[in-house]
Amino acid sequence: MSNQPQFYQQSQIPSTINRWRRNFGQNKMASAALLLLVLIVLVAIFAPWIAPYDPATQFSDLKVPPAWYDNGMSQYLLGTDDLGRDLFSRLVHGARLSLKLALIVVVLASSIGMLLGCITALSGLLVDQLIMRLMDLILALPSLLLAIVIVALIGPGLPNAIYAVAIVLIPHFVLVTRNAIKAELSKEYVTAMILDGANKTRLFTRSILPNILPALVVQLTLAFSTAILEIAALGFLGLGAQAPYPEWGTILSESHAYITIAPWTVALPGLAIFFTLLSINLVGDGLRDAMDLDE
Amino acid sequence: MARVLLRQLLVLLLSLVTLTIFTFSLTLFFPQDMVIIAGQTTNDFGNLVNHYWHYLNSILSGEWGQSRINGQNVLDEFLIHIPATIELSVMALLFSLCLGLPLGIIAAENKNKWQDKLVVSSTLIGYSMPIFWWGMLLVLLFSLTLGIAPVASRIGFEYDILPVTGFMLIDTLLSDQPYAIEAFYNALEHLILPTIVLGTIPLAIFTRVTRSAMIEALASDYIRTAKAKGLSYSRIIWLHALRNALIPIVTVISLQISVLITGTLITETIFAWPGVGKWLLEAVYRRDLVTLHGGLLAIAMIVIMMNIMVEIAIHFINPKLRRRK
Amino acid sequence: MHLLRIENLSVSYQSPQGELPIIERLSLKMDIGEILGVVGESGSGKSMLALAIMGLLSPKMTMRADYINLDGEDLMKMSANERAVYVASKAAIIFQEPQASLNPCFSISSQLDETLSIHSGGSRSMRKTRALELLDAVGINRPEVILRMYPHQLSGGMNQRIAIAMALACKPRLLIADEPTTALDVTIQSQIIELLVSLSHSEDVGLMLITHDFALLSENTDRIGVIYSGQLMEHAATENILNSPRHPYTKALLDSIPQLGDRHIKGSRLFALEGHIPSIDQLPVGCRLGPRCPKAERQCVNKPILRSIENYGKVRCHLAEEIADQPVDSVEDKQ
Repeated sequence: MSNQPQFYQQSQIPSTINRWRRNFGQNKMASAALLLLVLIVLVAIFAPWIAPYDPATQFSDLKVPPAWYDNGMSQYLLGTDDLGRDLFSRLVHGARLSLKLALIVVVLASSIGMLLGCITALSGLLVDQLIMRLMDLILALPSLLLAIVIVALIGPGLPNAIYAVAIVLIPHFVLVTRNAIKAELSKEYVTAMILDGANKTRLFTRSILPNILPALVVQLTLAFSTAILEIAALGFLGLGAQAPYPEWGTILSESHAYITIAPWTVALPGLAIFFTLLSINLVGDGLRDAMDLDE
Repeated sequence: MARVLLRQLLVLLLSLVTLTIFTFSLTLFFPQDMVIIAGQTTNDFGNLVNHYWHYLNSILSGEWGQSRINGQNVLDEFLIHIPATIELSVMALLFSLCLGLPLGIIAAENKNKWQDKLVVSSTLIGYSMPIFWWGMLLVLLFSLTLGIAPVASRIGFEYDILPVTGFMLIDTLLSDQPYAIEAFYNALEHLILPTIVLGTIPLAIFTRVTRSAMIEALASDYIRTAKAKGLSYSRIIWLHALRNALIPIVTVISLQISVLITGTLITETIFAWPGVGKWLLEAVYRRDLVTLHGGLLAIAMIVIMMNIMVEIAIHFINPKLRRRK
Repeated sequence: MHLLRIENLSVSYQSPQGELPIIERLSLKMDIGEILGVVGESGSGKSMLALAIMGLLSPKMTMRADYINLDGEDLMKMSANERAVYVASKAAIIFQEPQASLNPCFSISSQLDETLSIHSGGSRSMRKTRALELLDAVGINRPEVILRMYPHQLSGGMNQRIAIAMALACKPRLLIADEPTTALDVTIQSQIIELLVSLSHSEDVGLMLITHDFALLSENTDRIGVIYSGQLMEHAATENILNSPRHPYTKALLDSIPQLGDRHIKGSRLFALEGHIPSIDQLPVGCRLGPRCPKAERQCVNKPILRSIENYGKVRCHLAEEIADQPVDSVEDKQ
């Protein structure tokens, strides 16, 4: 460089992942939501140790309000339901169940969806159009409607509900993956790499994959939140996890009838779903902002 | 302009054909039930094209099979139930648009100030609210505790209204009963809670989209030019910025149609609303696949048609998509 | 009386790290009908100067000045609303991206009509006549056809002409052109500049031509102001600057213009200053050009002030007098 005295220093340029992490950290709400989410995950993982009772055990104390009420009992922190089951234990195990189910659904949907998305993005016109027409159609259909039709076809109950929700989520992954890959492929640096002689694998792993990562990550969080909601919705309609599974939606379907007599059995499970969804959505929003994606 | 219409018509036709192929392939899972439509009971895959042709003919002639619930023609049953759902959905859409657009504009005008933060947090909450819980909470609060809203159904039992159009609000006004106007207001009361419940998520989404579209529009160079020209603040917001923001907003409307139908399934359950959602759920509980097939086909057709109409609307709004001279 | 007098204008940006200076204590003057060229690198703050005068800064910016006198009135003494109205009637601005300055959803005719109804008034047909006159004045051939069209249907050059027409519709005393030709083809560039200059003369409108391209300014301007890192470095009559620039930065800008007729010597590079504009959160001590300046000496650790040089203009450099005595680098010296 020059032999002049340097009057200023060059600040360090952070790597991309560090930049994302720093951006995310500056977002107070998203960081708080992440903490809440971690808490929920921990509760789910350690449910058997946190819950004081087995979620299916029926005590003789029916419809007891939460402990802070006058006629509540201290051994049932959040009260009991119409069959005398401790609500706190049920909710804690419900967290475990809901998160586990959502995880399975998202893993299933994302792996199939992303694979299909890669195939269709890198294929010729005919295959691309065929698959995309089908995906467009499924996307046009209301998600819950499709899910209940699938459940009707293959029967209600837990594993089928997982398949149904996964099928509904697959087109979203296909669409996001395909569009992200196509967008990168049309960029000039990719043309430059091809001219430089990069083979397909190298092209994919070194340049395309890292650049579509933000879109995929955001889609994953979105899918997670949708999965939890859809599973709970199916549970609420009696088509998902069946009683006595402590799935939050299923709990609500049972509590619905006792809404006037035992309102806490309606309020509390819903609150659990709400806070879980809220934290996932906040984290998803925070990720989207941190990684500079357009909405 | 005619070119655009023609092209959209073609897309419509293509989508509908694809849809029938899709639903046809679903029927292959349960050929016994679909005998009336498909015409054959055996899984004879060799004759698939004939099969499909027979299927298409049945669909087009209105022969959609018989419902297991009451033995009536599925298409007729659908047409009986759909007005209630349409009425509710339209009200929910209007609700979400009429509130969502102004809220989004206010948030965009006051970006990062307390109004904006309030609106953004509210949309996040609305967006994260499981619709079934929200419905139950509102019922608990307003109907059961405060007693100011009705719990279920479209209108009080004491009113006997002739179902002319199927739309309660119109039928009450058309009725020649002495309590017609009173019945109208009663029907409105019954609509309030379900509309709010169904419209909450679309409200959150419209507010968000309006906000971000307005923020982008307000940051544009042409707004700077407009300010430099000396245009009034309200003219800049309502004419220049909003007009450009409408493009993404209208695009989102087509997505909301699916959201509304999903929401309808749950809302109708909570409020015992006699619409298509409740009808389809009945079918699911009874494994009435003929009804489900018909419902899926009909709803999908409606969604596709609405999407096409929104596409046409976008061509009207966005000058860049119009034909060049 | 001067058209524009700015004294000690400072614009800073509110960031999480504090207040960062974009423009620092800038003062300049423009006469009525004068053509002033404002030149500087990208990021030097010259566009911010234009926005500050027009009152179009974003809310995150704070602006301070002793006074900004536009056609006799001090803008700093007015409320935000009064300013907006006053500035809209006295000054107009055209931007770099012509298509972006026009609203894509409305036709040319409605946008022109809007401006005219605020600034000229009159009946609809009077406005239409005036709109056609304006489009004609900016060199558009079939104005009736153009009126019905939309911005995206027209070329960049056309759109820029329309932007100029819209600016003229405001009947301004001052026209600011912020990089008006940077986004246009080279062939169109000279046309647009010529148009601006001729309009300035014929309508007696002061023209502030902001650009990073020195070559554009040499033939067209009365005076030139050189901005670097938010400060005015040199401000003098154009011929003075072209003949004997006093500031090392100006000299460097002039030296970096490739001359027609330069013989290309294999291996030689175009002249350019080493280094880059300092980022605003890490400004150098003393003269902002210091780290890059080929003439820097010990005293450059102290901030230079903008001072008048006799028979020349204003320069912000400790070494202004010495530099004047050195000739501008000729072609042979560069080899």
